[in-house]
Amino acid sequence: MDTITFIFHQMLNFSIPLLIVALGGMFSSRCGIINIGLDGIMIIGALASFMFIRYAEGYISSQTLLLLAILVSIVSGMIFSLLHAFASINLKANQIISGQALNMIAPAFSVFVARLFIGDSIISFKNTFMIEEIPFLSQIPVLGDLLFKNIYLTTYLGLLVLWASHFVLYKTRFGLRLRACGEYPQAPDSVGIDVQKIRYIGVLISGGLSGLGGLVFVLPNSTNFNGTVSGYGFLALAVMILGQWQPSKIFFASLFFGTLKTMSAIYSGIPFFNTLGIPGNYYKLMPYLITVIVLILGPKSLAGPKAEGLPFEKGMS
Amino acid sequence: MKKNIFTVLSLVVVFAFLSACAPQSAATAAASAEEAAPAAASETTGGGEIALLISAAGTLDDRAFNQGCWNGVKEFGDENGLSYMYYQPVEDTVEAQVTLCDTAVKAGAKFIIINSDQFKVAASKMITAYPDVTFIIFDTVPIDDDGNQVLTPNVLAIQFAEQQSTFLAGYAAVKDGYRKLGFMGGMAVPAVVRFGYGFVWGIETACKELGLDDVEIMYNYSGDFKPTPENQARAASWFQGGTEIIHVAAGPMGASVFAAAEQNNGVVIGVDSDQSAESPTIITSAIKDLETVTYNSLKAWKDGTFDGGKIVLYTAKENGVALASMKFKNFTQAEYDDLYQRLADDVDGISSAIPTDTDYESPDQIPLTCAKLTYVE
Repeated sequence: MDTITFIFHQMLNFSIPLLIVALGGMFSSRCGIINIGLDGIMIIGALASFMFIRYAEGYISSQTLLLLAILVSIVSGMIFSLLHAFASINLKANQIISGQALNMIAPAFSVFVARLFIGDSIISFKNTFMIEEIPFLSQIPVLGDLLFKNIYLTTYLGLLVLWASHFVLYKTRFGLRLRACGEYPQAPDSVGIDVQKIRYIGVLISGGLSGLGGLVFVLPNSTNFNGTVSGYGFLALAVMILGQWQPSKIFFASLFFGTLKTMSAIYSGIPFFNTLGIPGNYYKLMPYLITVIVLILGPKSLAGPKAEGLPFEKGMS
Repeated sequence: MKKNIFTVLSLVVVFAFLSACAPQSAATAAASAEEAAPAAASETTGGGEIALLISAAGTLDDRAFNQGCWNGVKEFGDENGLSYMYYQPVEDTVEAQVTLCDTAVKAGAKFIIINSDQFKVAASKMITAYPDVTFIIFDTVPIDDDGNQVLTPNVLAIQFAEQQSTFLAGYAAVKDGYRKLGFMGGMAVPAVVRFGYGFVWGIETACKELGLDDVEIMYNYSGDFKPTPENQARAASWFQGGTEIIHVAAGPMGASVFAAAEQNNGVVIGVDSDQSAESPTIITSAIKDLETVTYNSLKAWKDGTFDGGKIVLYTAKENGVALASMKFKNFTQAEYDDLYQRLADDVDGISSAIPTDTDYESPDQIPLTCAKLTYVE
């Protein structure tokens, strides 16, 4: 049981940031803008929030600090994603190139800013954010151990984002308009909806969520932030595609990825997997191999939003 | 549209592979090229009479060997009013490294410190191209294209007996009461391998002395030097599986192991520099004193007593290696001093018996009679 709880918690470390960032990518894609700059936005979100944590550490209680840091990461991600929004919506630039530009500038910018302000490219932090136990709820058998012990606030936030994404996308007027802009922007335009505005909002949501994802990614996995998220923004794109641009499927895709990634990292420490005698490289290969297989086998359902990546010219059809 | 989606798909797959398999993906390599320039500019105090060259795979503020070296440079430069700067190549190829050296010399470098074994071929070209510039190179010896050693009078190749510092660490940990120990290295480069083998041998020696039969060692090279969820999860799973203490020799990746230790009540032995400020879980650090050696080399150069054209090895005898900030429960300072002295004097061949990177190809070939080693490939 302990082992299962442990694996579950490790899996959350992988899955929750992937989930949040993939949902971010989904909002952007669904409104018609490909955002491959997720990785760069994650870095900026992490940079801003850990700079904030560094300066505010010790003045306020840790959970308040975390909440504020979450806000900082969202806002900074949004601001950074404006670059992408401006280039792809106003300037009608190639969205792949503009997204990649974000990825290239972010790590360099992070090192530069960190050295400028604190004289050190690595931002250390004290991890006091883990909630050891939530009273009452932790007494529930099985679930209590899994969900209400040794857990981060950000895990619940990830689930909240999942629910909110589903709600916004399918149950609100805005969601309908967003999806329409990604499928056939001429249609909403013909009834007087401002496509550019909707697309700006879509990209801003993706920026906010990716920035948050950067914070969530670094928090449990390190004692400092050193200007990289190890390419997890790209992995989140894969999760988004595997999840077919739908929140519920993205959720399962992120769990799937998280579990495989966890297995590939922890097999050596769990006696059960050691006795199986499978060479470590197979575990490491698995997440990628299975992704490639799924992508090859499922091209029909992987259509994606139809107008994704196409600039929209008002009044043109 | 379809085309677009498949462009993204192929990009995604390529990047996912790159970031997982290669230690330096195309994106990060390009990024590090950019980060070198502004970062260096903010540190410089002029043209850079002292230049530090580091590998594309490393970072300057790694809390480990690059930082130790840089501290020595800064201290000397500030004291003597000399300007200093660090340089990092776009990628670890001979061409990129030689170009980097040209840039440094053009910017006024008179003394160049090469702190990476990745530079060994490029270094041979640099030292012959610039006979008026003084070089020191750590962890390796310059070789030419045919693999022959090149030692011109303007270069000093400095090596450390890393295996002795971790021998101390492994020995102390077992004496202190730890029975299940782990070693996590970055990439299996010679210095990391020496750290690992020394650690294993220290454990084995203490195990034999105490007549124990329950000492177990986990051993792994992660394949990168980065703090990633994978490295955190691996360390966490070891702690979860009963490992009590992990020695991590992988620069920035250490942060992931510290995080895992904090979350799983484990302890860690740091590497290269005194890392005790990084996490309360660090009970000691196996250090090689790059800072002092760098400082002293610079001083010798300034005083005109620089004696190049050879290889120097810093061992316990020269105070080149040590344990820093010990927080052991049972292992005392007196025991440490005694062991250190024995290492320095090589009593009963204790230090010459420690295996080094050239002795065995993989850690499971080290003949152990007392401790049990599991090599996780």
